[in-house]
Amino acid sequence: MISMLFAILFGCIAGTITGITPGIHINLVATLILASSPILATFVSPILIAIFIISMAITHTFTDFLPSCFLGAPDSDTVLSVLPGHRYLLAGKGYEAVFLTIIGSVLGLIITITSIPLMIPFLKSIYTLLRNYIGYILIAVVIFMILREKSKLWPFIIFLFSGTLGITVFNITILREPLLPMLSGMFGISTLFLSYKDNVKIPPQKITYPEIDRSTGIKSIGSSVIVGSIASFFPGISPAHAAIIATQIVRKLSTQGFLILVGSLNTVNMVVSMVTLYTIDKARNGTIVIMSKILESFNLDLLILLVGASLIAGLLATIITLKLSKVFSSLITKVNYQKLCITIIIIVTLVVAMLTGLIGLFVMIVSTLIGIIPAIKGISRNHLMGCLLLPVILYYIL
Amino acid sequence: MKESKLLKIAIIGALMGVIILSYISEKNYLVGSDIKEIANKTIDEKVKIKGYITSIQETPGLYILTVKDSSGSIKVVVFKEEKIDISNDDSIEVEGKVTKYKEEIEIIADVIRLIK
Repeated sequence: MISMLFAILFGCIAGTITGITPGIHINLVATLILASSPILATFVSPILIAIFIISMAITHTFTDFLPSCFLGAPDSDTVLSVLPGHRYLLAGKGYEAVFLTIIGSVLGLIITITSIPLMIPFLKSIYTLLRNYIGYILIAVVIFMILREKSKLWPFIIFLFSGTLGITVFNITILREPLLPMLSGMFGISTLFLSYKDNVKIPPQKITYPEIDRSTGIKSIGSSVIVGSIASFFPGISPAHAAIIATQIVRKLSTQGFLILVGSLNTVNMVVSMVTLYTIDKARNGTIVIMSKILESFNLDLLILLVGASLIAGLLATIITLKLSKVFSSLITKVNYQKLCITIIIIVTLVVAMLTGLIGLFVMIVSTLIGIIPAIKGISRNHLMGCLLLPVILYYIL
Repeated sequence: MKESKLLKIAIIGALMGVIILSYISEKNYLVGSDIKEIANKTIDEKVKIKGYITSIQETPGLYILTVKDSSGSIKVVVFKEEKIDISNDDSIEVEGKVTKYKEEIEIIADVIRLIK
């Protein structure tokens, strides 16, 4: 029992480090764990390694909003929170933005865990029912996304542009980690570049707490648990895809509601991925793949144990993220924001160069250029998600 | 810099970039390798091999196949997307990424094709 608590604690520490490092996605960390798991296996049991991995992954889904909201440097699961997070930061409410994502994460975690007994019998049949239609559902989502805009032409052009880039990048066989340079450029560096160019000043940050009306809370959490759970069953559908689907279903969601929704989706996705492994025997994300390799069998007892570990890790992660958010709030105004933008651009560029080489750097530059277009044209950056949506639509309908 | 000028630079630069990347992706289609050569590849590099199955092991969420050709053998990890209809001695073509587990080089399969 003590060793399990230590595994959770170490997982939380590791998840905090990976979460606050700009641009690092949990799947990348999972790959590193796969490489080191044989060494770990000589000291501890596979179950303890699995507890460590899930605690780290759950903590990562909480802490990864810190670089996204405060530094404008997201990973692929938090890309959609960059702009609303940035707006809150510019209004002196960076802490409140992170607080909203944490409300989403922690409520999403608790509601998903309590829904697992209901999910197990139903998700399998929903998966069987929907899997032939998922491509068409995504096409409908894209059409709704474009029709919602006043100008239809530019959103359509941006969707096609980013979609073509996505298809091309996924087909470059020599490029490792294609998502890292593409999404860092489109959503991270483009935001930082525009902040630098416009000489954005970060106002003093206040520690404020949001007043959330009941309907926003119910809409955000409810849609993220339902859509996130169903989406976790489909290959290639990430939390970011699920966020786009959920926001098209729940119309007129406020920025506040959107941050709760995005916060919740990543955590829901991670928990439901364990249910997916148990019910349909399929590993849907990098973390779960590593767990399925380490564990020789995955039964109900193990699912309950790992879900319990996730709950404890989630509660610890809530405390850690809120504490760190206060630290970020006080530090962000003490540094020169222009220099900070340049420093983060350099860090992300170095990470991209180290992990993906020259070709990755080129992808990052092209993605940054595409990422700048919607900001200048004043339309939603969600259309840039074409880079993930178009390849997945083609995968399902072709 | 004026926004209209920045927009022009972004559109032209992105368009040229996508064209160059399309060219690179066309030029980088996968060429089949002998299994022995996989040891010289870097982790996460995409590869293609052909061989026949000598063992099939099932774990939660995955199949782990041992695939052999005239140069050697390698483990291939396959996600259980659909039930795959394969058995020992079947000849297959595998496209996937190189990975390392317990000091052993493996391939995580993206595509598996049965060769009749």
